[in-house]
Amino acid sequence: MGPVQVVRSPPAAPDSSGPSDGALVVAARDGEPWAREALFRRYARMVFALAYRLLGRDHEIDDLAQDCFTQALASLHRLEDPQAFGGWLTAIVVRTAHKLLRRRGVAARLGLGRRQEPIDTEALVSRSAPADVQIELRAVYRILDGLPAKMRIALVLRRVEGASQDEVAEYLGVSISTAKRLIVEADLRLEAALADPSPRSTP
Amino acid sequence: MIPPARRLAGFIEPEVDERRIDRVWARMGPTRAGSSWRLPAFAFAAVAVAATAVLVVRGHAAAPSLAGMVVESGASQTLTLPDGTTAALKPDTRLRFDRIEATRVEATLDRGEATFDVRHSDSRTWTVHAAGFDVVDRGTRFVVAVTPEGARVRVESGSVVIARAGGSEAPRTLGPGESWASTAILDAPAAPATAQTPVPTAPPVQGVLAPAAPGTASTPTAPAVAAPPTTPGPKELLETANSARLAGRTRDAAQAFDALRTRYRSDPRAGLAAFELGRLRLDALGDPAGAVEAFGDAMALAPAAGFREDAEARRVEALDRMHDGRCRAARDAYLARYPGGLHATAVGARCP
Repeated sequence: MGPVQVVRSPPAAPDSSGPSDGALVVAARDGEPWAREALFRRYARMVFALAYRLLGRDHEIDDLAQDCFTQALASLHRLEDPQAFGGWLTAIVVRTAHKLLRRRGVAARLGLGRRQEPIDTEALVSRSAPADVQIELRAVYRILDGLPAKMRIALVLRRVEGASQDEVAEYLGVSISTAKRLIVEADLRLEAALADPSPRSTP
Repeated sequence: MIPPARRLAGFIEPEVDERRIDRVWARMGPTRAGSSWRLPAFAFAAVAVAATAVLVVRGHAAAPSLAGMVVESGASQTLTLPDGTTAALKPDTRLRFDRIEATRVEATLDRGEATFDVRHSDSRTWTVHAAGFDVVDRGTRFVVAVTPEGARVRVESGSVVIARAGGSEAPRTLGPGESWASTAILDAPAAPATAQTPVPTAPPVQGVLAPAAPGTASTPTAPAVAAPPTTPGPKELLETANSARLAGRTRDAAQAFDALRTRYRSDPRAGLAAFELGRLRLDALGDPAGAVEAFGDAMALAPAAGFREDAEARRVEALDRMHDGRCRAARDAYLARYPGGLHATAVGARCP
């Protein structure tokens, strides 16, 4: 795992009752199994949900969540601020998802790997979402598989997670100018998809 | 034109239940244990056992977090599990919850004595591991103790089955009033209906429980094992504090955090302990004045720590709650230091 910077606020705050993240991280570093499990259970839903939104498919997120927690729990000693565990873990999820998508893209170009079913945008988006939100989210996920891995992550972080340009840059480990470029290009493709709501439209 | 970017994540959520979470946790295998070579063998064994857990007690949100939990009782304390089962721990007792699943609960008594009052369920077994023996509940209130001499068990009501872990000997059943110590049943009432091998063949082991009348409270007659007095270090204090807080013993947790920060002020954990103490005092103990002091101490002990901003904001909150005249100065100091801080809006609204 490459160096991971700490992002202050995770996209979704888990239950904060009980010991603080800092206390759990310190105890986990000291080898306490219960603290490791407590961290896992505190953040499992956040990781599952973020992985789901980044990948767009439910069947892949167990593996991704497992990878992310394995990395995080094995490298707790690298976390400078124990209280920032949530943001640090979020960054790990983003980068692990990016690696997975990049590997898959390479495999697809080489004619290797399993062909993915299209993302089921109807099932993905909650029916309780307002109409305009449903239209936007379905457009996002309709074009997702056609985007390069990094742009795809940037689009989800920006349009679904509501991340700022700075946060997109930090999570992806790119410069702010690169993040801006990715977001602008992804927004252009999204705009085209919104203008052509055909389910088969692929930019 | 596309709409401005905003957070829409709440409209895309996977179906994640406890079973799914538990399955991923189980799949993580030994990596969950971290630096296992640094752990005592029993701790590694507990983690290895828990690695096969696939199903968690459903309907009780607290249950999953108990698996893997270690409780070290400084004084007598009673733990209540989500299903109503209680474990009353004597002082200086260490109890681990190895697994809590829909079909079985397993705990290990490493030392000390605990009285279990198990809410029996036909669909779930309740097992206490003690000094190489498995004590399996059959609808029971029973006492288990582990001393350097071995394990001892006394049944107060219902029955338990005792078997040597991994052994080939036939398991034996204890009924009400029966006691057992390591290799011998010490006492058996006449014709106990539940006893399978009730014949006492060995003399009582020195230092074990005396036979008890059915339904009496547990009172070991043997003198407690004299442990050399030791002063807990910062790591032990932090463990004690965290265990106490998980068990709902807020005051014990606060006491341990307080001891850590006052006794080991140069320890890197002292600042965090002070911060945690402040949180407990403010959120659980109704002591904002104490919280102000602890948060201030946290800021002094660890001025560059990641929780410094949180400590400063919580100190403003505590001062505001006290209607203390220092609140405005603290608020302004926070806003000057963290103009775009996580708590800037909340802090800015305080001390009107």
